[in-house]
Amino acid sequence: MTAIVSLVGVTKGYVRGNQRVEVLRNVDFQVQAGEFVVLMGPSGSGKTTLLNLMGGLNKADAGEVIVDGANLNDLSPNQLADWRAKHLGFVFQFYYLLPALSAERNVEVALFLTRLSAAERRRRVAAALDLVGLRERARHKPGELSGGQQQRVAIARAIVADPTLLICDEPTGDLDREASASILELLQLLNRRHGKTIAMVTHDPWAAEYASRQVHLDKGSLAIAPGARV
Amino acid sequence: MLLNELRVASRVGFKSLRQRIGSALVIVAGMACVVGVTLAMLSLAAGIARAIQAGGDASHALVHAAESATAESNGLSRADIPLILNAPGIAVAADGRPLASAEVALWLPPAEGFAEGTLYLQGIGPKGAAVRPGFAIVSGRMFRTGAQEIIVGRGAESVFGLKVGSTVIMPNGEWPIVGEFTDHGNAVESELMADADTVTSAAAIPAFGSVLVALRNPAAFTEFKRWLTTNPALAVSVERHSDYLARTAGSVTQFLATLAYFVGGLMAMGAVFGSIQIMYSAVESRTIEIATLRAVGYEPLPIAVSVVLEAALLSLLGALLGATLAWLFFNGTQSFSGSTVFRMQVSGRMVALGLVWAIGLAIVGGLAPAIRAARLPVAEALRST
Amino acid sequence: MKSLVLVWAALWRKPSATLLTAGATTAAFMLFGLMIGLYDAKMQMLNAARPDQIFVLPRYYPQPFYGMPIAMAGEIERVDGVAAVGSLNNVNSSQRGPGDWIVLVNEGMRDSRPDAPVTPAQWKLLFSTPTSVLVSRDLAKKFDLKPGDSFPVTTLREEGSTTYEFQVQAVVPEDPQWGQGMIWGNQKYLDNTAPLPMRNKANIFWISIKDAARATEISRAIDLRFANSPTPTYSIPVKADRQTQVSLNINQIGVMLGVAGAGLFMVLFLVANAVARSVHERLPEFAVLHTLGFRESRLRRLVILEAAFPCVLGAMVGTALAGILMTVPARKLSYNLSLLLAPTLSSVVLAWAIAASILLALLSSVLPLLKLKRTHVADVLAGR
Repeated sequence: MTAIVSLVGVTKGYVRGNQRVEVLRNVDFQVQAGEFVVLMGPSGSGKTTLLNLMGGLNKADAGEVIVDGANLNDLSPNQLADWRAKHLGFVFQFYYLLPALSAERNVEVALFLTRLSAAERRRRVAAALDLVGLRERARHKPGELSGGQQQRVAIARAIVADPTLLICDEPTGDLDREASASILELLQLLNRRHGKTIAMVTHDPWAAEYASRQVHLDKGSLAIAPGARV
Repeated sequence: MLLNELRVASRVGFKSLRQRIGSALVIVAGMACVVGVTLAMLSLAAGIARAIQAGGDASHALVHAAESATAESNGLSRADIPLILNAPGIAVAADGRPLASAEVALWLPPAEGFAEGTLYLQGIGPKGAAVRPGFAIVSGRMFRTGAQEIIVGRGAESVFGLKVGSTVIMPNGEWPIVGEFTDHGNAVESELMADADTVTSAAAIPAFGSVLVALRNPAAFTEFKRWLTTNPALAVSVERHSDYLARTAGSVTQFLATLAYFVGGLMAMGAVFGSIQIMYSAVESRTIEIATLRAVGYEPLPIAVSVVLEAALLSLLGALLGATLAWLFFNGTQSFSGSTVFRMQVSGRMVALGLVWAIGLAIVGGLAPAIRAARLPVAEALRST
Repeated sequence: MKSLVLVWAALWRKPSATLLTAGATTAAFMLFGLMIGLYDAKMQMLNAARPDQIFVLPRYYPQPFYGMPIAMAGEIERVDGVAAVGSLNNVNSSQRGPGDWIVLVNEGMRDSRPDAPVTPAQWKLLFSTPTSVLVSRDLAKKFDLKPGDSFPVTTLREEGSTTYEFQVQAVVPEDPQWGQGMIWGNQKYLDNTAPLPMRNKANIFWISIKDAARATEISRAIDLRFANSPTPTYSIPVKADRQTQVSLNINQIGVMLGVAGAGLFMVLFLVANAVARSVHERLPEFAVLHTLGFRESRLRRLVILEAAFPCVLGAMVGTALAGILMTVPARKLSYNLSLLLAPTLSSVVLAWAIAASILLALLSSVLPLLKLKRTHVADVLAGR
């Protein structure tokens, strides 16, 4: 297996008020191609910070973040943006769909940055919605969909450009158990059947069970889960 | 009870205003623009009206040719004058002659080196000064009867640059300016004056424009007018001087006032759209606050009224700001229109009009959002938190 | 094009807010369109003024004996540098209608106004019969006149009223130097039929000169020639006269531009506030677009386009409404208005409006863009 994500000696801190808070301290971490890794840990342990570093939304203070061969520290903001468009898909706790657009339009937004023809975009959007089981709801607006369905649209948006890595931050945080299960099963399906590499943050041990590997963070350092590789 | 609720609802609203200060200021600025611009334009009309009307009173009358609406078209023949001076009710001067002045109007080209504006020269009779109670020479001296001399009003002096000692090109050569006069700050101060007989002969004008008459008392007007208008030898119009000035001022200022209200109306339309939008967003951002009040038993009416009240107070603030700016920048500013020099005037009545207007607009702008606030579904609003 | 979908989504997130903003900008641009239309009309008139033409007016009003004798034209022609002399004479109509516009001209106008939009054939028609008139398009439309039609004009003179019957010979384009609708009649009509003192008189001589650079000098020379005559003149180059018209009657340009500016200033706050609110509420959306790979410049463009939509829409609708308002017979609003104002809705006005609306959008976007720049995507997504 090859490492899609490789963090070496990564340190990241924030200034809150006039105090510097170190969130990640000298972290080494890898995600292998085809893995479904879940990051767990208490609030403030640095899970989301780690995810944001992998997604190029933040830059490390020290250390290297290499994703799919690119050293994110070396990329300019524009290069990062282009890189994200090609390589990453994001799913958030709140779905952040555009309320005025239909489900299919929301998914298509992710393809606006490509040079694909309108017909090709429509074909891909249909395939992505098919995959998340919402083909019949393609014309509905977010307000006409349930929370679980909205999250599915968000997942379709994240995968429609066929990214290398799918980054999910608490994707079930706002859903009930039943909807959560279906979302997690969908992610599992994307991982197992479609070979998507997924890095997911959750604080819910039940949700973590769907992943192929669990990594625990505590006070900015990795704590190895029992019986797991880092 | 309702009043008490209104007090609390308003207080809660105003407390949260700090968080909405940006949008609140938009209402203030919008209304300041509407009222400021409208008052500035009205101040032109008011200034001209005041300049024209100043000094006119009911104890003076103006006689001019029946077919010409103004004294500026010289339509009274020389033979008409003694007839007019024979009319009953005219006050008598110390020398026993009637206190009246036959006058002639002459438009001159702009002063040399001053391409803008037209000069208006009024030829006045020997009693021309006495018949104008506010008339006073402020520098130099009065022109001499029969001499080719001119006096200049203070406004014409300052705007057209006609100084005592300089000359004006007249039909038969240059006439010196020998004095400067004031008259109640009215439009006459935008003019030049000279001896009427000297002007008519120099300019070969065979007629007079008007006769300005001091009446023995205001009540004498009726008989004075009846006598002149029923005299078969005369075809004249007779008006009280104040009425004549009001009429001529009206025709000049009506256009400016119409324009001011038109411009103000359009701006107000824009401001109302703006207030509706801002008050809607205010209600939206106060959803929880309003729902909480409703949940603890407040009636919808005081809540709705508090929304309108907020819009009204913000508008009022804006209107005050606009009126203050208009007053600061335009009240007393000298301007001229054609040949009339005047000072723009922002009066208390205009300011009051602006304030009333602003409140009216606020009610229009605040009404729909207020209704939305009153109809807010309480349970839903609270659940969404 | 693809970005437009996102702009559209932003605009219809809260349709009422967008429409209210557009409503406010429409009102402001209606005002803007009218004011710039007036300004443009003034400027067109000023720009159309020929530097090689001069007006010769009576020096003093009231003019003695109903104006200047047309015979003066021969003397003016003898002044060095004068090319041709035409005479114009107002007909003082006693009723409102075409008579308000009618001006009688003599044959000299054919040479002194070579720039007039009248063909040699039309000039010939005008001078072939005394009752002929040429009507400009606007007035032909206004009074529903076409070639062959005739209309009566009753004049008000001290000798008593006289009714003249005029016959439309041709409809001609507007004369840019005239500024508003014109009806030119044949001076011969009055010369043949009017009471004697009114015959062969001119209110204005419109002359052309050989060298535009000598306009002021020739004006002085004409005035000097008539200084001691019974009818002294006041000559002014057409260009200078138009300049005076523009600045006369209160600083009109200042008032027009000031009012137009105040309207825009008012909606500037409104649009800026609306955009700021929208950006503030949609920060998570921008964050998501950022994670999808949208560059900052692209996000900035979205904000500006979102601001531009109600501005440009308002500019176009407002200018169109202003245009409609301009076509409403102004006489119905106020008679003064119809004589003093003739705003134009030219492409210039529309271009000004569009440019102003884009400027408005850019200015309105400044603060929201700064906020967007200061916002950190990760913070927004984390709900901080």
